Amino acid sequence: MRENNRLINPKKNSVMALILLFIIILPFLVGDYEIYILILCIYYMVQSESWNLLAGYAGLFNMAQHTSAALAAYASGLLCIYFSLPPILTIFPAIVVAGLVSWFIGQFTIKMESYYLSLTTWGFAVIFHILIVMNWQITGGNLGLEVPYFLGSIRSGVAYYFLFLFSAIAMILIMYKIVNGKLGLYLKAIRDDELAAAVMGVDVFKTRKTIFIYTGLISGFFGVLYGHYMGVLTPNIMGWEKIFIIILSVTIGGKGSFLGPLFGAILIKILSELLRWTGEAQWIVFGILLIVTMKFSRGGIEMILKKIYLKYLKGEDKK
Amino acid sequence: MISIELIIKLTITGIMMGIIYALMATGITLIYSIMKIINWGMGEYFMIGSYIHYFVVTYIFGMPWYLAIFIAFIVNFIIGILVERYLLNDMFIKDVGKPFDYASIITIGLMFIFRNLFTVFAGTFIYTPPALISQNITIGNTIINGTKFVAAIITFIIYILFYVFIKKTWIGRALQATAQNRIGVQADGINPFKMDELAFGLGCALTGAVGAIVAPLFMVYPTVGGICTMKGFLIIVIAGAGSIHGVLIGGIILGLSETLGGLFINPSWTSIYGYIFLVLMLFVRPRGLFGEKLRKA
Repeated sequence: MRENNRLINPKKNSVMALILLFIIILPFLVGDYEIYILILCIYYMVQSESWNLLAGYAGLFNMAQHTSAALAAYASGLLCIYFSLPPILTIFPAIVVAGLVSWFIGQFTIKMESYYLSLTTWGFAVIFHILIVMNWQITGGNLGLEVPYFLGSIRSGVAYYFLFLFSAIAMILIMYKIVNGKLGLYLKAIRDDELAAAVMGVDVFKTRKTIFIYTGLISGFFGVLYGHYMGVLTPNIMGWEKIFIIILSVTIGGKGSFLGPLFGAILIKILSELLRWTGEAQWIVFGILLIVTMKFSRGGIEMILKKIYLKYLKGEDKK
Repeated sequence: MISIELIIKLTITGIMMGIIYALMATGITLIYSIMKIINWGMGEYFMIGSYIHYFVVTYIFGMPWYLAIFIAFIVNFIIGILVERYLLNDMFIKDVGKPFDYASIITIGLMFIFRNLFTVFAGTFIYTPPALISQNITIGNTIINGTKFVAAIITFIIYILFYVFIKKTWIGRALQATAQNRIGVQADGINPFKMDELAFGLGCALTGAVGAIVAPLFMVYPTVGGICTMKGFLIIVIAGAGSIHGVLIGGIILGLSETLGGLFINPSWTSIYGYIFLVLMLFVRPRGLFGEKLRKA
């Protein structure tokens, strides 16, 4: 009942409506390049959130998050090219590929301890990267693979913005349902105490594997959208930088909170645009930011905002 | 044409590369076994070692290359100790959530900082230091690259020294004890935090030293550490973390699978054979060849 009351809270609803209006009007106010940045923001929001489900909720420090996205993008692109199908049809087999890849990696790694899991998932990420580069006759290798655009001849940024926006809203709602449903409850129990959760009847491996495959599917879906938006796929999309940006966004936003990574992704993307002129030096700034956040405020932005809210708006002390 | 001489030559090369790879993994396995973390930025210490080699040999006139190994060892030791003391030590004494996640995120951040510091200040150029020795080595009637041979010999000496240090000296045994039981060693008057610092510093120093040794083979550029990280982690997964003699065998398996796989199957796929081994190993022994099952307190 309380949930329902919160939903029809008029003050909150008006704020939500304003935010929604702002998001819808936003692409009409800015130029093409800014729309491109916004679309990347949305892409990283979804990727960060799905990595957060693994690392923050399930306790799986997965280093192959970007791989399922990249492989799905390649699968879709190759299907488009070799069978001359439109992207709208290849998106489903591509998501199945992402799911299979996640299942395959999960099959090996889920039962491992955290460090082995990280190392092995990272190993798979490198294997697939090498395979894509090596099979250049098929995948184009480092030269890149030109894939058809998702919306065909419509090249307007606004259309892509809304495509990404509505897909992202759908995916984030699905993830919200997962987190607040039965599976999320299991995940939180496992995160807090694996042994206690197992004793209480939670099937730890099954739960972890389910979430591993779910996040693989979500990440794969957005990988396909990203590939067909960019129009060209390079092995770069499986590079270290991609997983670094995801980890950074989640850490800055607050690992283990639902809204944190979404804000973190936006913040990092904007920061990366502001620092673009510095070239490689932006990674130094990001690295320092990551370490400082981890050392001094583990909860990220979410924790800081919560503290400020409790202290000044509610007038409560820390405890 | 596959001849006996070629097989012998590639076997010797594979073993030599394996020894070099093994020392790359030794630092990772040392840090893992004491602190139970993975240092993702391990390759960056390797890269720093390579740059020190190039700097010493090229800019400081008259300095021999073997001095670079000592300098790289000491510099990396100091960096490692500082990183452990001021960044990683928090994971044992403060509430940081999962210690492994904390350490992973910190080391990934450090990796990007170091790598891009060198990109910004030294540029993305590929520097080539002069070879360690100019002539080739002839064993029987097989000719082997002299630099590779010398590098493998020095690496092996360092590996043996490290092995003796761990097995015979008091500090080495204290490290072993800390790896087995962090709480138990405190009853014997060993400070586990000091052991953490030592292990992290030593691991970084060993990796830096091997970076300085093989700089003429692997060249010197900001992302050269990726090779070290890749081979090191591969060996850890094949051999099982926490075993010092395991990494030598794992390294030799990796070196041989690269050279012989290149000979018998396809030379352009050399970097993939190690991973094929990894996947096979995961089927047969998910904890690696020499990995011990983690005891939970």
